[in-house]
Amino acid sequence: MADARLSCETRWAARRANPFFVLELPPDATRAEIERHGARLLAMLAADVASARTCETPLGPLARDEHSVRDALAELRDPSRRLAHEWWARGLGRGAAR
Amino acid sequence: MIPIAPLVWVLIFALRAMNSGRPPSSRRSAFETVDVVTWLVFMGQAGLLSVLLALIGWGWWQFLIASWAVVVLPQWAAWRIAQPRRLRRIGLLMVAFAPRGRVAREGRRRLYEWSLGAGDSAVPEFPVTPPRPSTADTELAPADEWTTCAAALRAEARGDTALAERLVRGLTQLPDKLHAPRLVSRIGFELLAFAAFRRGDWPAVLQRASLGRGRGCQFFRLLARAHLIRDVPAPWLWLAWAAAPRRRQMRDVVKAALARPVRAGAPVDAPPARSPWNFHLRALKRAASGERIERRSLMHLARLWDGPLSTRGQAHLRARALELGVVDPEAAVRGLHAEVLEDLNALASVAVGPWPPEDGALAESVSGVLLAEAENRLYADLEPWTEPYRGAGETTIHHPLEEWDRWLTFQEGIDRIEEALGEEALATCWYGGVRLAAWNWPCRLLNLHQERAAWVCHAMFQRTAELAERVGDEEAAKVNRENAATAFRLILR
Repeated sequence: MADARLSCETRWAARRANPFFVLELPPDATRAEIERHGARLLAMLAADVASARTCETPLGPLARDEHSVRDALAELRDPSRRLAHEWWARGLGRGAAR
Repeated sequence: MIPIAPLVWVLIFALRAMNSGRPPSSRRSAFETVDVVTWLVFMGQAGLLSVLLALIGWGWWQFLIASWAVVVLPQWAAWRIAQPRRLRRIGLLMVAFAPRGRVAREGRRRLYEWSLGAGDSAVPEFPVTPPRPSTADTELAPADEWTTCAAALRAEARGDTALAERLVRGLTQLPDKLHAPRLVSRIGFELLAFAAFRRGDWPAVLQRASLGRGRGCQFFRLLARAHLIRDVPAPWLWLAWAAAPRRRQMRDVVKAALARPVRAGAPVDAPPARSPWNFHLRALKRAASGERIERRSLMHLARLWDGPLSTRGQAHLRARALELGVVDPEAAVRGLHAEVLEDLNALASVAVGPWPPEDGALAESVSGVLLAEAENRLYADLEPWTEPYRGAGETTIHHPLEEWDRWLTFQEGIDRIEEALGEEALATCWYGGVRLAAWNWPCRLLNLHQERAAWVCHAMFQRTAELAERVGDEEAAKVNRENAATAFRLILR
């Protein structure tokens, strides 16, 4: 039972850390927009800008650092992974807007 | 004038306290369960103490004080002074000092020693990873209320909450004939309730304290009710607190329990989201924090997913995959479908309650696949227990207490099937292998370990007979009732 709970927690955390939420971009953002925004966020984090340390997601605020931004960019560069993240982000964003 | 009444009362009290720890039979009185040696030890100790008290000039009631000091005082000091301070040697000495029958003496020693987390060479450590060869070593301790309660306390002391919970659940489902000895029901269950209290597990505190008797259990029962149901009047709780042990430690807990505001009504669940994505994430979050997830609500979620992951929904996804330049759109969509199902399966493994009746969903729909996989998993969970009894090969039988733990895990699997899929599924698994295992398992255990396994085998046979009755297998029910009676006769021997 404890393992199953842990599995649910890991899955929830993974869904919450959707790359579109980490980058605070809409699911239909273009490849160029994603790269530009990612570079800007990395620069802000390097300069230790406080507002870049957290991001607002439909599932509540989430801590953000250089690693999570780089991971998000890498995930969205893979078209099949992007498809999945886009689908989750679109669905969750739509639900939150209601 | 000789005070006859108090003397008789003391003697009856001493008799009850000194009984051997075996369940009383209808043919034997409590007097007969006290052996001669125990009597001689008691009379010797009480007599010696009486003479000492007489020498320093105490009155006629010296024998009352001596009897109380011999029968009650060492036990009280062992459990109320030495045990909370983890004084192993002193506590064991005091437990051994009081005159008791062999079973009760051994049981008390184990209960004391194991409550401090210590091991015992007479009972192997369990659960074990590699199977050990069968053994009929005569030095092995029996599996009974004493050792089961002691093993649960040891598991708590070692932080193995799952094992402790399983053993306690086994104690709650015992047949009517198996009564816990006085010390187990007064001290053992109180210590188990206290262990659950330290973990903050109030439902477990209520369950464990409800099993026991005595001031400690009564207090924990009221305290847990004050926390969970909030229907305990303050004077009752304070009265129970004043009578119970650990007053200093518990004073603030009682204050905190009574200071909690009375709940206006049952919390109302938020209505399920119409978006499967949000509902899905909310369910994962609730499961992760240990909240109750109903299978009915999980099936509602799966049916919501049937829309976005229908053939039409998948066609949209494939089109988008082509726009994004995915090399194999079919595989990408399949992966997404599998991802959702994996999440739902993780939720299904913590969900409780029955699955809702089938609504004719397609076998390949999300809800259809979820239900089929959940059913398969529930049946597969029983396979490790039923498989060894299908063939004519040898089955490894461990120590009775370890077998009891394995049996309880097996029963949990059967209960889950019944809870999730209903009585029809119970009959399916009964004739699909459970009958063979549940019937043969206690037989082989009793043949190998005899009296040492009689207590667990009685409970196992009774449970098998109950299952057989429920699925209408009269032959199995009759034979297993007879087997239960045979095992019970061995307990009394």
